[in-house]
Amino acid sequence: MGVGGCATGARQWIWTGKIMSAQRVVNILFCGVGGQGVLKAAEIAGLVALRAGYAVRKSEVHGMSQRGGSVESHVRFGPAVHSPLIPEGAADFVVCFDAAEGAKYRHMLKKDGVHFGPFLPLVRQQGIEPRYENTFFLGLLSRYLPLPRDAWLHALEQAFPRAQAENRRCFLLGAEMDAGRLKAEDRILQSFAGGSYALFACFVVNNLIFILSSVAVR
Amino acid sequence: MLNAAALNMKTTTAPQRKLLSGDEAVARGAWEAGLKVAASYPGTPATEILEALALYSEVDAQWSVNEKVAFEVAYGAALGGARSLMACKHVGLNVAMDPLMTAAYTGINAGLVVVVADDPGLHSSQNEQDTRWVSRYAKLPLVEPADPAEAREYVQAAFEISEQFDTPVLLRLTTRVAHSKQDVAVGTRAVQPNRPFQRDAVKYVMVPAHAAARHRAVEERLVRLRAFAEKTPLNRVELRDRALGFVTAGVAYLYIRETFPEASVLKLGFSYPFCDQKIRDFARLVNELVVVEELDPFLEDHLRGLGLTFKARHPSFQLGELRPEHLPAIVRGEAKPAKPFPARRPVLCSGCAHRAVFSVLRDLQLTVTGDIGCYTLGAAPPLASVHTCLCMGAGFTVHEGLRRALPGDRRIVGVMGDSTFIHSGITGLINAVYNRMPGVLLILDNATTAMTGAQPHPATGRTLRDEPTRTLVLEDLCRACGAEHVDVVDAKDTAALKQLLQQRLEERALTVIIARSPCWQLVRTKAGAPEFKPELCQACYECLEIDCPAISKSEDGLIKIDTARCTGCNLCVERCAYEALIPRRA
Repeated sequence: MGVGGCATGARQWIWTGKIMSAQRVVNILFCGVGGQGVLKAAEIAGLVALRAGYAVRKSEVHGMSQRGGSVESHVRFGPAVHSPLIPEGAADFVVCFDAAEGAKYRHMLKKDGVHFGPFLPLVRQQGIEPRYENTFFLGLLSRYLPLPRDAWLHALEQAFPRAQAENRRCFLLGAEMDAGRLKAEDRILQSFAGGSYALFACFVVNNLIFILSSVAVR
Repeated sequence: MLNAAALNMKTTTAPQRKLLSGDEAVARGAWEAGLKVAASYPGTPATEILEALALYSEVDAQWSVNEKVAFEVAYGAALGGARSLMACKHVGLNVAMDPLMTAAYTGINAGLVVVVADDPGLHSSQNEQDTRWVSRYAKLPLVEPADPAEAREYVQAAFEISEQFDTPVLLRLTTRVAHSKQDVAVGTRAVQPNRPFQRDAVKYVMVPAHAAARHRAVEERLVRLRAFAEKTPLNRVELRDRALGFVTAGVAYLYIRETFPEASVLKLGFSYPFCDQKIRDFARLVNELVVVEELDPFLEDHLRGLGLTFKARHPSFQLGELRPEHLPAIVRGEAKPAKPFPARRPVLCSGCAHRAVFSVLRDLQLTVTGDIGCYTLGAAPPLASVHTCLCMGAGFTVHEGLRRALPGDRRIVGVMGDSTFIHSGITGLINAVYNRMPGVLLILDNATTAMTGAQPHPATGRTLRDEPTRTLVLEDLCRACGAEHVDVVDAKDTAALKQLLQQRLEERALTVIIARSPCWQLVRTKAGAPEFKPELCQACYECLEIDCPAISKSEDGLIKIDTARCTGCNLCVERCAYEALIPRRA
C-alpha cells in the first residue's frame, strides 16, 4: 500500500534537488491563449498538489480574456502559501502553450527556473493533437515535481471523463519521454548544477514506483 | 482502485478539504450557514457564486433578469424569514443601488448578504470602481475576505452580523479573491428555522414619515456597529517585528505576508464602519505605519481623518491591480512600476455570428451605439464597428440621444445582445416608441449570456438549474412594446441583413431587427476550412478585415488559414473578390 497512497506516498519521494523540497513553495505559471486548455491544466496541477497533502493557491482570470486573449494561471504549493499570485521573478516553471505568450512571461521566471518554450516543438514532433497539448505538458511538468504519478493519472481521469485513454497516453508520453531525445533537457539539467544527480535518482525512483503502482492497480 | 481507496481514507480521517475558488467558497459558506434563497445576474468575476449554489438542492437559486430584480427577490426572501444572498459584480450593484439604499433603512428579518466582486485591473469590466465606498454611502457594514478560506468563514459571519444588527451586509470580493483557488476546510450545513414575517408598516413601508424614523435607526445602528468593529475577531492584529506595521484589507494582506513576512499587520476583515481605537492602538505599537489597499484611498482617507501619521501609497497605485512584487515600492514611497507587457487582445471566437453582423455594419459605415457583452469586441479594429459602450442597456437609449442631437442623421443604429436586452434594454425600446423616435435597433440574439460563460436567460426557456420554463419570445415582446417593424434574420446571412438594413434605414419607422444565430460555443459545429488558392490571391487582405482568429497574414505575404481554429463559416470567402478562397462543401 505504501507506494499507492498519495497522501503519504508524496513524502517518500520528495526531491532533494535544487527545485524540489517540501520546505518551500513551488511556483508554476501556466500561460497561453484562450481555448488552449491553460486553465484546465492549472486546475489539474493544483488538484494533484492538494491530493499530495500540500497547501495550494491558484489564481486565474475568466471572462473577456478567454475570448482568444492572453490567459495565465498561477499555481503555488508548499507547506504554506500566502499570495495567490506568483511574485515577479519567482516562478520555478513557466509552462507556455504558445511561444509568444511564453516569451512575455520571462520576467516571471526565476534565475534557475525552467521555461517550457523550448519544449513547444515537441508537440508537433510527437504528433500530439492540439487539444491534448495540455496533458502532454502536464506529463513533462510531472517529471520535475514531487507529486505521485498515480495522483496525476487520477486527476486526469476526473478532469477528462471523455478520451481518457488518449489523455493518459499523452500525459505518459511527456512523463516518460527519453531524456536523450529531449534535447532541451540537457540544457535544463545543466542549469541545475548540483541537483542533477538527485534529479536522475528521482527519474529512476519515479519510474520504479510507476511500474509497481500500475501493477498494484491492475 | 487502491489509489482511490487511499484517498477516501484520508478524507474520512481529516477534516474535508476542497480546492475552492473564492466564489465557490462563498457559495459553500452560505450553504453551511443555512442559506435558503439566492439570486444574481451573471457578471465576471461573481458569476460562479450562483453556478456553485445551483449545485446545492436545498438552496432556491435563480438567475434573475437583472441585479435590481435579484436584490429585491433576495430582500423579499429575507423579510420572509429565510437567509438570503444576492451576488453581482461591482457595476451590477450600481443597477441595484435604488433598493439597496432604502433596504439599509428598513433592515431585514433573516440575514441578507450582498456579495459584490470588484475587478481591479479591469480584466473583464467597463470601469474600475471601488465598491467599498457603497458601504459608507449606504451606511452598511462591509466584510472583506482575503482568500477563499476566509470567504467561506466571512460569509457565515456576515449572516450573523446581518441578523444581530438587522441590516443587509456587503461582502466584497475582488478578482483575485473570487478567482483564486485555495485548499479550504469545509463544514456541514446548519439550518435555522424561518423567522416569521411581522407586518410592520413603520419599518417596511418607506413613506417620508416612516423613513425619517428609520434614518435615525440607521445612524444608531452605525454607532453600535462601530463598537462591534472594535471587538470582532474579523479585525485582527498580528504583532511581529514592530519596526514596520501595515494596515490593510482583502487580498493585499496576502501580498504583505508574502513580501514582508516579519512585519506586523492590522488586517481589517470588517472594514466598515472602522475600528478607530484598534487602528490608533496599532499605530502606537509600530515604528513605521504603512497603509496598503487596492484602488481608491478608502483606508488612507479615514486614517488621515483620525490624524494619524503614516505612509500612503504613491497615487499611481490608485490605478489598476496590486501585485505582490509592488509591496517594496509602496514601502519606499515609489510610483507603481509599469506593466511589463501588453496582454493579447481578446477577439470574437472563430465561427461567431456577431462577426458577420459587424462586417455588414462596417460595410454600411453606420454609427453604432453598442452595449455590454462579447459583441463589445466589435469595437476593436479592424472591425471597429461599435462606437459607444457605456453600461448594460445603453445601446438603445444612447442611440436615441444621439439621434435627437443629430436629427437628420439616419445612419445610426443601436445594438445589444439578447440577455442585455432583457436585463435593461426593454425600457429603452419602450421609451423610443413612446417618444416617437424612428430608427433601427438590432438585437444580436445568440440564445445565451455568452461573455460570462453561457448562462441561460428568460428567452432561452431554461433556468439556472436547466429546468424548462416559459420561453420569452423576443419578437412578440418587441411588437408588444410597439415597434412598427420586427424583423428576424439569420445573423450569418450577411446579404439578407445588408439588404434589410438598407431598406429599414430609409423608412421613418422604429424597427427592431433580431439577428439570430446561436453562440458558436453552444453548438460547436464545424465544417471544412475554405480552400486557399494562392495563385489567385491579390494580397488585398480584405479577408483579414473581419478580424477572425483563424485567418492571418502568412510569411510569404499572402494569407493562411489555421484549419484547427477555422469553423468553416465562410465569412472570409464572401469577402474575397478574386475567388482565391473556395468554400469546401461537406
